[in-house]
Amino acid sequence: MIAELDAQVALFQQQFTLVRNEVRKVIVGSEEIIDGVLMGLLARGHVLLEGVPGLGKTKLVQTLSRALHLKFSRIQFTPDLMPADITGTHIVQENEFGEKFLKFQPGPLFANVILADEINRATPKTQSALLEAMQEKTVSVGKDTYTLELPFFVLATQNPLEMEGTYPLPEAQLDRFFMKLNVGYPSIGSMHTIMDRTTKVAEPEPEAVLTGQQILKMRDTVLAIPIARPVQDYAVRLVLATHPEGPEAHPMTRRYVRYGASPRGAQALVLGAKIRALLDNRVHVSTGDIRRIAVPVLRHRVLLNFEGEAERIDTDSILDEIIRDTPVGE
Amino acid sequence: MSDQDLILRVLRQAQARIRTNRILERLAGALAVWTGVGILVKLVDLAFPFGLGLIRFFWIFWVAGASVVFLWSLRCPQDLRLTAEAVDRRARLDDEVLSAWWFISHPTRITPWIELHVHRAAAKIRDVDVSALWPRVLPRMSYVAALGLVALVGLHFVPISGSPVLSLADSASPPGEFSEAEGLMEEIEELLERAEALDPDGSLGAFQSLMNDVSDVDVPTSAITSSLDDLASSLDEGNLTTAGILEGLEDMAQELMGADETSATGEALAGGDLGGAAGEFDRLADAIAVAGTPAADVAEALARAAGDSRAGLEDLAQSMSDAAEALGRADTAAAGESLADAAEALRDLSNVIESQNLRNQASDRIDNLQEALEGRGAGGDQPGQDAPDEPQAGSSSSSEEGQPGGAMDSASGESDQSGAGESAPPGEAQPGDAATRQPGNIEGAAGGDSGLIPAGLGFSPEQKTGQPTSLEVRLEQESTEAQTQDAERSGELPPRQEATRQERSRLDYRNVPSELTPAQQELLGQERVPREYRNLIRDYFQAIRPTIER
Repeated sequence: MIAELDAQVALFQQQFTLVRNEVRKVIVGSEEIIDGVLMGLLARGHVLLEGVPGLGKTKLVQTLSRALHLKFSRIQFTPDLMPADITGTHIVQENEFGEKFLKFQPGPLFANVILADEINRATPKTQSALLEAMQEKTVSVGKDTYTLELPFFVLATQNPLEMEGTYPLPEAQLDRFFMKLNVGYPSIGSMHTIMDRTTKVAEPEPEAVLTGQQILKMRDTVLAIPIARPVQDYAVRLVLATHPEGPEAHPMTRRYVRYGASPRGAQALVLGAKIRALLDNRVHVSTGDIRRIAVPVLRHRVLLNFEGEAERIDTDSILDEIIRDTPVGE
Repeated sequence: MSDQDLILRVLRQAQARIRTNRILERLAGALAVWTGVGILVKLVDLAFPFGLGLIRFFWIFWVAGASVVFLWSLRCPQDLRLTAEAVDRRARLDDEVLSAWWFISHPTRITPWIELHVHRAAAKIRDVDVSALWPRVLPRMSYVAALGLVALVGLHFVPISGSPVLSLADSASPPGEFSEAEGLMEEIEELLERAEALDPDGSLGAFQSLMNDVSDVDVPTSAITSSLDDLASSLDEGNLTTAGILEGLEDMAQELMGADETSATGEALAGGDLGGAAGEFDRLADAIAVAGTPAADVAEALARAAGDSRAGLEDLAQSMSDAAEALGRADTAAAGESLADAAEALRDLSNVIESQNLRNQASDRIDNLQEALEGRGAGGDQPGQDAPDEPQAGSSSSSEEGQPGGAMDSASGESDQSGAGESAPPGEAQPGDAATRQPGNIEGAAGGDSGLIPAGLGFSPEQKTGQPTSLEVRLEQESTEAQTQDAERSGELPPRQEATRQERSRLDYRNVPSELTPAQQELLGQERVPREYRNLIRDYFQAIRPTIER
């Protein structure tokens, strides 16, 4: 039995590495972003990518979908985008007898990997349509509810600069995202590599190395990894430290935070830490794993108050303080 | 051994090692703090000496407190969870042992994945060397503690002490003060030894015990000076009895001079020569044995002399009475024996008087010693502190009081004030001190003393002779001597001079006791005695003292 589990762990690592290497064929640098996206996929979550245009967010998602034997769709969010445009709608059709009937035409949500590009440009109504799909893995159109095929993985992007005419995501929707990854500028070396790869006749093409079933199997492996109560307690204390009204609140939290992370944030911490442990060939979660993923998992779940916004406090710095000051042991 | 047992065993080994190291660290830390506080206390004690009780209380409190804190810290052993965390930290195992320990201690949650985890953890912990992770090394604080101990022991033997006497040597004052106090103590001890040899009364033992207290750093100066006060008072108490003896002897001398055979004895007694008087008694006894019963006036003179018995003169009076009776019976043998007993009694009285004289000198030196100690206790040298030992140039009223005939009263008045002005600055006229401590004005009195002449009684020949101390008295004396010489040359003695000579006191004014004993003086000096009652009390003391018939 132990040997089988050992083999399962090894297989997980091998498959993860395979996908990562395929993505890296196209995406240069951004290892943390790639790992984060893959972790979101394996943790049954969704990932929000934030970065200025041109950093390869859309390219990353496209590459990922190609590396997986999964159905991919891209939705360009605009203010005039309606919910039916993403969920699908009933259209009138005619059979061979000339009878007309309504048939559901699935929208772009009916795919395995969804790229919600510039998600903050859509109206809240459309964003809410995506909300149900992200959380419930179902789509309701009229009186009918359609179940989405698993794995269902949403990768949303947003531009932090052009905020005019946008609809910032509500807290409830932000909380649906497993991680928020900030895509930064590549380094000089990475830029050279990008130039070399993308300015030639033949661009590298990723191969599909993982099926949907394999991904679901990897997800089960993640869930099976045990976590001891002391380690889980650390994750809980980190989350509680982001609550300004709670007794565990950090001083920075009390001063600059309006709302802290929800229990879903603690779930995300544990799941992400489990994936980290597996990637490190461990079958137990450590507090170090939790610390490593705490910032991307919690940064979009911590909402600043007026003072924090006015002083342009970065939530990452608040989280860094919390991680630094929260003791590992009791 | 199962994986779980292996993990638990290693954890317990680590727990024991951590506990041992922690005990050593806390022990060293406690010792370092203990010695640090000890050094602090010692330094404060050297600067401002504590009492023995306070020091004992402090040390008991500190040792008990430190022990309780130390034992309390050892009482709570580190649990295995903390040990597992420590092993993870030191062996860099990423919470593997902690997780394994938690799953082992919560067996209801065991799953295949947990078994795999525990198996892996056991494999890793098998390679963990607990003694390498927690080596036995001396805690850093142990070096501090050792240094503190050395410093504490060193401070203990530093020749600085809170002893009032030893502190004299350590102060910024001239080194002469220390030798002065030491010299005074030696001198007092020698005087008391001599007095004890003549007439034992236990004062030497009391003084030696007191000197042991002086050398003890824990006895405060005030207590020592108070004890010295008591000792001086007890030494002075013999003055009253001795004064009565002297007065009685003087009366006896007058009676004995009434017969030719005993006149030599009477003159010797009147001159204060008790040894000579005893010899005269011996010679009288021998004469009686050879020549037979003497004239009847001898027995009468002896009987009259024996009739004036006072406290301390009982043996002498009894012997003279027996001799008179024996002569009355014409029992020359018994008379000779009684006279021999009388001679012996005189010699004993001589010893008593001499010993009291020595005790008076010792009492004076005790006063000086008190001044030295009090000066030290006050933390500074006072200008007038050495004044009593220095010759004083100013003429004092006591010079005039030394004139014949007025010696007893004036000297008594001086003694009342003795001690009160001892700390006054030099040059200031002080009757008591000037009378007793001006060797330049006292002929022969300073012969055997180092410039210090005790107040009170003295009966030695070199002390009872002295010159008047003022020009007026000296001129009067010279005038009287000139008239006497003229009268002797002309064969007649002026009746006035003869009367004066007869009435002149043979007791040197410096040796006349105070009307009040030191204890009575001390009582009168107490604040609680209202001033308006002091004269009344003084009168009472004077009333109850033995009558001195001039």
